Amino acid sequence: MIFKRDMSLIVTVVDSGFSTKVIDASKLAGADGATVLQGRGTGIHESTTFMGVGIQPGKDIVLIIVSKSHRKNIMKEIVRACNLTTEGKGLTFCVPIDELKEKKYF
Amino acid sequence: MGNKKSPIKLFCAVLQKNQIAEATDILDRQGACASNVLLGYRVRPERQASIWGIGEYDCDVILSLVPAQTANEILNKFYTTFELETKLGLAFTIPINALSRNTLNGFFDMQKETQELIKQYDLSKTKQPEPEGAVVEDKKEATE
Repeated sequence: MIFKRDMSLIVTVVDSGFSTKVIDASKLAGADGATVLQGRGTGIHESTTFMGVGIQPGKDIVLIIVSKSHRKNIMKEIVRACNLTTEGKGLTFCVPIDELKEKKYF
Repeated sequence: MGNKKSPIKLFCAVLQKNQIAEATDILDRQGACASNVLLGYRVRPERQASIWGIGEYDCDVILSLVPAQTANEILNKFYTTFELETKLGLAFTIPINALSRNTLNGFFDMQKETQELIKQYDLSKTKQPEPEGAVVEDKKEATE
């Protein structure tokens, strides 16, 4: 099963534990499943120290495959749910997918 | 470079645990390079499953650079080998705009034509190659 040029991958980077918010918001807007990866933030807003030791908080990277028609709504819903307009809260972006193979999609 | 067809693609597959060895074997045989494996977990599409907290399962995410000519073949291979039609998992490719020189070295055993295309994607070059039309005009001026 190959889908060409009508799918996009939404990548969202949020603080650890916020991935459920992202997934719930995306599902509300029409997305199906999601894949979550663990990461580590090193941005200017995340660098904090405790007793002189630098702390780099964990990050969740959420990958969601959506159709291009749903893409805008889903991203809007993620931004709203996770308050991504605030600095240091996280970010979301979208990349096009050339070809996709999966059991069942839409 | 915006609309040009990418000669190298980023191949991404979300597979179940214990399938990575076979996946890297397939990618190596098909001329892929710079394979990275990430650990993650997948949330099932079914809403009921996620409500009860049982909809999550561990998975491996494999990222690799593959030549565009073989991307479809690799996808087909993954589709049949890992039975993506019946089992859980997915695979897709993403076009790439530019690459670092060291990464490009992994593709140098490929055909000459492809090498030329790939060299255009080298980030270490400061000057972009001029379009063919511009070169012809310059030659005309030189002869005049």
